[in-house]
Parts: sequence; C-alpha cells; structure tokens
Amino acid sequence: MNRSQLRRALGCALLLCLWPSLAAAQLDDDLIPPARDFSSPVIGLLSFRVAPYRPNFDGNAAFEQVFGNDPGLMLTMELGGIVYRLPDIMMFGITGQFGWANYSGNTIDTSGNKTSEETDLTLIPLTALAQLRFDALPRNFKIPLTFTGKVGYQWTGWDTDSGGKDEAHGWALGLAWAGEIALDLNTFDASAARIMDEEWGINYAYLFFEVFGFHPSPQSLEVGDITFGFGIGFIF
Amino acid sequence: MPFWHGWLNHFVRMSPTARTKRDNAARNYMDRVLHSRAPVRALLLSLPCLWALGVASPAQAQQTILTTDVLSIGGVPNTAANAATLYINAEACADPDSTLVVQVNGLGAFMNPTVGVWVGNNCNTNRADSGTTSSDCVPIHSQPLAGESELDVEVPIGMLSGCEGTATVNVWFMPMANATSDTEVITAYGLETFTVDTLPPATPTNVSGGSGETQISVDWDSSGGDIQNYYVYWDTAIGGGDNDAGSGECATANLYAGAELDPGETPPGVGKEKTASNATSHDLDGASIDGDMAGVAVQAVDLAGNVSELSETACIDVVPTNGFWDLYKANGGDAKEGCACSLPGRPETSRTPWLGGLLLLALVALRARRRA
Repeated sequence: MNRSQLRRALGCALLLCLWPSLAAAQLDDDLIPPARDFSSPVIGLLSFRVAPYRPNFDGNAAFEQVFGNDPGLMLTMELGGIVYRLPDIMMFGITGQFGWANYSGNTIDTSGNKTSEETDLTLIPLTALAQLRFDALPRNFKIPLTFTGKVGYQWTGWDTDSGGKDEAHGWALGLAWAGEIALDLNTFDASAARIMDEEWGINYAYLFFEVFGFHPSPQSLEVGDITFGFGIGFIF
Repeated sequence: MPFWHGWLNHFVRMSPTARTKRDNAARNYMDRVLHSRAPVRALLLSLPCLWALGVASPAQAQQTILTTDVLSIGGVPNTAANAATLYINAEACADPDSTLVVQVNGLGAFMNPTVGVWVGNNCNTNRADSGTTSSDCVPIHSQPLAGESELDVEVPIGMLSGCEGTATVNVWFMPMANATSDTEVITAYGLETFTVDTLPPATPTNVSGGSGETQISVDWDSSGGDIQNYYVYWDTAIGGGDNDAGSGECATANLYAGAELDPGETPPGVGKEKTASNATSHDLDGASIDGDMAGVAVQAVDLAGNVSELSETACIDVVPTNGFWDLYKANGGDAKEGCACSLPGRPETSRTPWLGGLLLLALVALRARRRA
C-alpha cells in the first residue's frame, strides 16, 4: 500500500467513524424546531389617559366664576394602527382619540350670588393624530424608555346647559399635539411580555406621561389648554 | 346470586352456561330497578291519581274554587296587576260607607240562595266539621244569589276584622244555603287576600329649598319604609301659617308643619308635584310658581296610599340667573355656536389641505409597510 492509498483508507475509516454522529446530528435538526420568534406582528395601539384639563378661554372670567378652580378631569381613549415599523428602532402610527370632560357649577343671580341651580360645560374631544414612537432604547439597550411625538387635528364638541336647559353647543377645531415619555414594561419582565404576546397578542405594554395641547381656531370657543396626563398603553 | 335461584335450580334443569346467563340477566335487572329512579317516579306520578280518587283528602275533593276579581277598594277602581298586593288604607277603613266590590264568577252551577262573605283563616271548611263561627272565621256579609253566573259582591270595609294597624285579611266568598249558618257543606268558594295598612308613613324631615330660575331644588330626608312617592307642595301666600306651631320658615295658611293635606284635594293657590319613591330631592321650575318667593313642604305616601303629615316648610326663591354661557358672553366672549370649522389664523376653507396631508401621510406609510 503506497502513501496515497494509505491516506485514502484513513479518510474512509474516519468518515465511517464519524458517519453515525453526523447522521444523529441530521436527525436532531429534523426533530427540534428552530428557535421560534414569539413576537406577533405589530398592528395597532390602544391607550387610556387621565389628565387634569382646564380650558383657558383666553382670559374670559366666566369659567372661573362658575366652575371655580375645578381642574376638571379629562378621560381619553386612543386607538389606532401602526402603519410602519422599523424593527427595534421606531414605528409610525395613525390614531384616533376620544375624550370626555365635564364641569359643573351653580348659576349666578343678578346680585352676583350663587344659586342652587346647576350649569354645566361638557367637552368631547375627537382627535386624529400621526405619531412617531421611538423604542430603540428598550429594544437594543434594555433601557425602558420610549419617546413619542404626536401631531394632528382636533374637533372638540362642547355643550353647556343651565337649569336643566341647553344653552349653547358647538364644535371647536384646531391643532393638537402631544409629547410622550413612556416606561416600557417589557424590559422589566420579558417572560411575562412573551406570555402577553402569545395569549393576547399584546407586543408591548407601557405606562406613560404625556404633555399635550390643543389650540382651537379664533372663531371657536376657547376650550384649548396645554396640560399633562398619565396613562397606560398597549401595542398589539 | 339472589337467594331464589337456588330453589329454582331444584325445579328447572339447566346447563351451567345457561344458568350463569340467567343469573347475570336477573342480577342486571334488579340492579337497574334498584339503582334507577323509576320507583320514585312511579310514586310521584301516582300521587295526583290518589288525590283525585279522594284518598288524600276526601273532604276537600267536592269543593269548586271560584274565580274572583277585585273591582274597587273604597271607591277607588282597582288597577293593580293580578299578583300585586291589594291594600286597604286608613281612608278606606275609616269611611263607614266604603266598600270592597268583588266580582265572583262561575256561580251559575250553584242553586244556593246567597253568597256568604266570611273573614278568617280556612273558612271553606264545612261548617258542621269546624265549629264555624269561631272568632277566627266570622260571617260579615251576604248577598242574594238568584241564578246569576257572576255577582258583584259589595263588602263593607268597616266590617273587616283587623281593619286597623297593619294586618292580612282573607275574605271568602261562598255560595251557601244560609250565609251565617254553622252547619253547612261548602261546595265552592272564592278567596281574596288584602293587606290592611292604616298607619301613615313617617313625615319627611330636614326640608330645605334653593333658589334659581328654571331648576329650584327642594331637598329632604327620606321617610323610610314602603314609600310609593312624595308630593312637593308650594304656596306663595307666605305668612298665613301656624308659625307658633314651629312650622318653619315661609309657612302659609295651607302649608305648615303637621298639616293634614289630601293630595287629591289641593287647596287653591297651592301647587303640587309628584316624585319617585326613592327621591330625596326635586327640582321645581320657576315658571310654574306665581311669585318670586314661596313656601315648600313635602308629604310622603306609602304603598297603601296612606299620606303622612306635611313636613316643616322651607323657602324657595325664584330669581333670574346667569349660566356659564350668559356669563361667557357678558365677559366679552365672542365664540359662535355650531361648527367653527377653520384652523388658527386661517380662512375656513384651509382645513382641507391639512386633512388631505394627514391622509396622504397614512397612505404612504401603508404602502411602505406593504413593501417591507
């Protein structure tokens, strides 16, 4: 047996020796599925916000005269779609908000005294918003903060009544904006986040603080304000 | 194996296989019988038959139950639903002429000369058997029956035993040979149950009045108990009341604490509104009050229709008021009602590009997402 024949024989022997382990590896690959990507597609957003809201009325004293220093409480629900997602960096969404706030006080008689009769102001803001959400920090660096900017258009339905009778109502229209900083809850408990996604399809949950404003047109009732609110949101 | 199988084997010659098969079949049958509910079901089904045959109660089997309809109570037509409680109130009990009018149906088959009206418990037991006119079951009225199939029986309410305080009274209507006899076989009867309630509800307390133009509030504390509704009275003739009796502010000749006012007969000049049963507040419209100040008082009515004494009085002021919108305008506000459809500092039509821009942005993003 020359040297080349010897080399060929050793190669065959090595191949024969390794064959069972290679075959087993092949078998394992067939049986064990690859690591599953548990993240479901991101399609929408739902959030709930509570905020003190006090229309500024451009210095008109009527609001303070009737409703005093009542800061009001505006409840808002936001629902919309995520139309573009740059994985682990940002997402772009179009959302709609529906809110409600009510102020109640007493009418004032001709002597300037408050009566027992009630007068109310109700605000129902409807907002269409475009928003950019940056979530690179929690996705890449485990820093649980996301930042969002929103801008859009708001229609605020308003209605005021006095003594049980409707006095006036209308719509105030104008620009709306918001800046949000959110605490990404997925960062704190990844396994719970995975279960939320598998069971409910919720990809991310977050608590947020938001500064927002509404600037109605001059012809509208001046029900705008710049204020802040807190809430909870879900991206699904 | 059941005990009789051994005896049976003495008389019937069988192969061991056939015997085992027979034993198993017998055992299965007994198991099914003993563990099923068939015996209970059979017993339950047989009960009505036993009842019909007179085994259970031969004395009651002969009696026919007559249908009755209460037409009026104390002159007030009865509008209560069938299952509703029928009340007899203090007013009906006190009036010597007031009656219950009850229509008794299905009398055509009976040849008895009268319909006897009895009050008590189990008055339909045969007179000879029960001893009859015990204090528990007494005849109070009778009405001749001359072959009619239905008869409107008028029962004097004042004759009902227990027509004071609160009590439940059973009134029996029975075709009888002698309406008051203590030896009678009762062949048919009708029964109506009434709740006598002659106690007035508690008088509402802590009455207070407000001021306003179209929504003047009157508040009070609940009377508690079985309240049907409250009446809020007002009267502008302030000053004629029995103020010495501590009737409160703004008492009038008609409205003062402790006055017994009949809601059905409101005195001239006195206004009245009815509230819900659980109300503790009511708003009056100044437009219905003829004056700028009035005395108000509240009265409770219970489910039987008994009315409380009038509460203490309070004052209300009818004054012109300004609501938020009036004050907004008075302070120089110039916003218009309706839709102010324009953006800040821009003419009305400029909203379209903004909305269009938003829509375009959404479409571009959607397209980009599909491509991705």
